[in-house]
Amino acid sequence: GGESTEENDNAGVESSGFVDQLDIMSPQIPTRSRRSSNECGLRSVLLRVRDLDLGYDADETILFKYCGGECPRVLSNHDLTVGNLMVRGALPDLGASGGWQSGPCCRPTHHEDLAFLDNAHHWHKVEKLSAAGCTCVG
Amino acid sequence: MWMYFYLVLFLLDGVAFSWGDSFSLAGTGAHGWVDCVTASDMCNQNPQCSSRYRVMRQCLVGRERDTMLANRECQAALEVLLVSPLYDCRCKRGMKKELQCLQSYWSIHMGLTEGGEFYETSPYEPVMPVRHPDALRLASIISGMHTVAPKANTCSDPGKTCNPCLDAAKACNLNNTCKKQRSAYIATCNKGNPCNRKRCHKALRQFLDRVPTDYSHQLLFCPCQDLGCAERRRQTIVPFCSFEDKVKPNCLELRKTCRQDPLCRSRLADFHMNCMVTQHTASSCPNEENYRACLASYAGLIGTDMTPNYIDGSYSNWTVSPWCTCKGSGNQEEECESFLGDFTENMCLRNAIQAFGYATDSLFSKPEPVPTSLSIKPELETTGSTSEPLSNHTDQSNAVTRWKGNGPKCNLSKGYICGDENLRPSSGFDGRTRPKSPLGDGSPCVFASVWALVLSLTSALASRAL
Repeated sequence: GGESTEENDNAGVESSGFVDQLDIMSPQIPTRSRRSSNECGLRSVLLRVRDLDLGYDADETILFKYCGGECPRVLSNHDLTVGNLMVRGALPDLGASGGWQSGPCCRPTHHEDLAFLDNAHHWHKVEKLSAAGCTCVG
Repeated sequence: MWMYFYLVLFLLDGVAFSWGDSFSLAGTGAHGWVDCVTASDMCNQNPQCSSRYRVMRQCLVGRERDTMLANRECQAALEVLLVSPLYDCRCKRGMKKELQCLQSYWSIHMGLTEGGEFYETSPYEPVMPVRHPDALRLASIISGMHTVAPKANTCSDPGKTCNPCLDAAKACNLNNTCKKQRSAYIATCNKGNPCNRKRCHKALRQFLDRVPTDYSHQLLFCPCQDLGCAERRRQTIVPFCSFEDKVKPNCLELRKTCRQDPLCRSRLADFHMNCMVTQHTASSCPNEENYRACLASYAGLIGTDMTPNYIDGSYSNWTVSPWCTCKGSGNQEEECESFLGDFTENMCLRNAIQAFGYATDSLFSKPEPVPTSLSIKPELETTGSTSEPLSNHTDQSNAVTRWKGNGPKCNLSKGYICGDENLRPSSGFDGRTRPKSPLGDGSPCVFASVWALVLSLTSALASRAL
């Protein structure tokens, strides 16, 4: 899977008219990058800070970015072997559901901070709130 | 002294042509002036000019200006420089070596002016009348504002809560540059107790330099219809760090301090030039075609010693001012009041800000569909006793910080839980509970939750004591 950076994604996102400051999109509908349907990539959703469920009484609207999508399942020899051993029950500490991820997963490469003014007119900063780039790790 | 000055200029008019050969005016461009950095370089390349420039710089260092100019050598140097491109040089706003350019400008002009003048010429390039695509002519806006009765709610949908300053924050948050720069200055200005004012100022200047004025001016000049909006607007520059101070200096003292710094001095001169109250124009601004020039020069003061801000929470009859007073002016009180009045009672500035508000409203008057899934916002953003739900919320990631409030004191009598101002977040995000936000569903504080918390706290304390 490729690494999608925020610049690339914004280009895709902005040209689709999503980041038009005059539109409010329903916060329930996330956007996708225009590349391919479900590739690992940076996605975003328009939300008010209060809707992040972090406990802030703040109505500033932000673009919350996150990583989602599928990573191509390139299994290494290690992955194959662990899979085999699990089937055989040779790895008792990895339970039935595993606690083990086979194949790479889509994760943020770096994050962005956010600062905002809440409804009581106090400033807040939340570090590393949004993802700023995604990649398939592992 | 002045007679001599004018005579010199008159005589040297003829001499001006001789310089045309020695200096290549390649850098002038269509506008006919060079920037002061280029002009200094040109002067340094010319042997005559560079020696005179050196002499003059030495003349100006440290010594009393008047005694310096009595020196014949210094005067001679000055004469020569008057006809060099250095005299006409200006600086471009936001240019790469802006500070260096401004320093050059003032080093030349310090020798030319008496100093202590009320208004100084601005080193920045004169603003061209710009046909902004969606800006209306200022005169027609002003006349419209005065003849037509002002709309009660300038936002499009009278039923919905309207907060242009919140909309401006949203617009900023949706633009990468604005969001990053805004988060940066907010973080800098909120760091430490006490905060670092110098760093905060620098961060503010950086914000205003790097972010397009469409976003930054929206945040600074959003029009307000209620107290909540006005307080948000007042908070934009994080005033408790960048604006307020323990001591309020005298305005003329502050001006003197400002004029010792080439950047502040330049920005002040620029503000005076572009926002000078003019008699014969409808808007009172010198440049009717481009009232935004006044707004831009006002914004240029933010992050300098002469940082201005809204000084009260009033939304309808707001006032802007630097952090200074005219107390203790002695016999200079009139001059002080006049200087302060250029901020507090400046019709051009006032009209420009109001016109910006009108233009902004027309941008935001598109009807917005209200998603039904969003919870209903409280009708007004009250600045009163809102509480911080963080106090009854087991905490989240390490990095959630809350700063000491600079808003109105929390009023316990109304049954609200006031946020703990020294809240130190614990690690881990386990066991979070959805906080009961007192204003979340539009109802006042939920007394039951308050009592539940009090009871749980007392029982916890009791069990600890045992």
